[in-house]
Amino acid sequence: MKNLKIIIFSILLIVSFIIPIKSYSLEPGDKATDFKITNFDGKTYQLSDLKSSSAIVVMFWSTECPFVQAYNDRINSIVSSYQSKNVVFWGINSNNTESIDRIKEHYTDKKYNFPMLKDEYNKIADMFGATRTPEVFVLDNNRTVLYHGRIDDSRDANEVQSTDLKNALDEILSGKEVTNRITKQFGCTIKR
Amino acid sequence: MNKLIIIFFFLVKISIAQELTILKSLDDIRSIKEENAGKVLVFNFWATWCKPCVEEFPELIKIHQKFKSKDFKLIFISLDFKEDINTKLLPFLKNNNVDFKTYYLDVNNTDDIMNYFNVKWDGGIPATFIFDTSEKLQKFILGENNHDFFEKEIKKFL
Repeated sequence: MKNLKIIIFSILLIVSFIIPIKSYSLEPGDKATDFKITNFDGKTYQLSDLKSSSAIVVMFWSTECPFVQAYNDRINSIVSSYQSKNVVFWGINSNNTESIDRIKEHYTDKKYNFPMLKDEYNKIADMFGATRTPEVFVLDNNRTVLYHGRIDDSRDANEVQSTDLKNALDEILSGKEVTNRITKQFGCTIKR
Repeated sequence: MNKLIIIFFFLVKISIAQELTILKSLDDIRSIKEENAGKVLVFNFWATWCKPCVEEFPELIKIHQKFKSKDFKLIFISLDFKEDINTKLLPFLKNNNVDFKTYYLDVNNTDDIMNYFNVKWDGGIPATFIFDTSEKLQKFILGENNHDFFEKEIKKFL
């Protein structure tokens, strides 16, 4: 009996080392799990419905984070440029501190030209391993991650030196490999 | 007598004037670690624009007060926007009676800084890193925590 306990304990110990703790985010090459949201705008959004798109941009967003607010104008301009090239943009608000009413109000105020989905209980943020706003994932139409990171390298539009998201999309639309597949940026943590 | 009291409070006020050091590179961060070799080091990345950071800040000040006489150093690194340094950051430090050196990060390549602390860190703040006396990273904490949590974690390495 004692030996059996030792064996079970040993197996559990080994397994605990083998099974990695999920703490990393999805990275280029990983496949995103499909999800479906019936959103507050009355529409249903499902990743696997976007099979005919050229690319899918999933952007973790916030109504409060000052870093995100700095991108309000820029993001509408980027979306306008690439929507015509069959790129789909979805904003995702996963912050449990931000209500649907607040998201609606902010959405109307900022005149976003892409849908904003409310991620109840942070399910999508957890699936992507997203931790920050703004944080962007670009997927192909088979849900494989091609780019993960920032929109560009400066909160101040006048000081941008590297338009990372645009660069990635241009390369994807040209059928090329994305050169800088992972970039980082300071921002607000997603409130879980 | 009243004059003496006024002078006394004036001197106290001067003594808690904060010192803000600008960090220009990853090497500057490495220098902080070298200067504090042998101590438990807690780096906290924060900004006045970050609500949970502002809520967490006084909790960490309590930690500083509790452990400052030990082999311990708290390193606040602000990520405030440049235009807010004089109007928000310095007044905030003053209002929180910060009487020790704190830092402001002014670098272009932030990826290097994040990867240096932890490749898992994507840049969300508040972010806190606890290094033991051998300069080994023991804990990466993303998001806001309170005094009791930090005390428990730091005590493990002191």
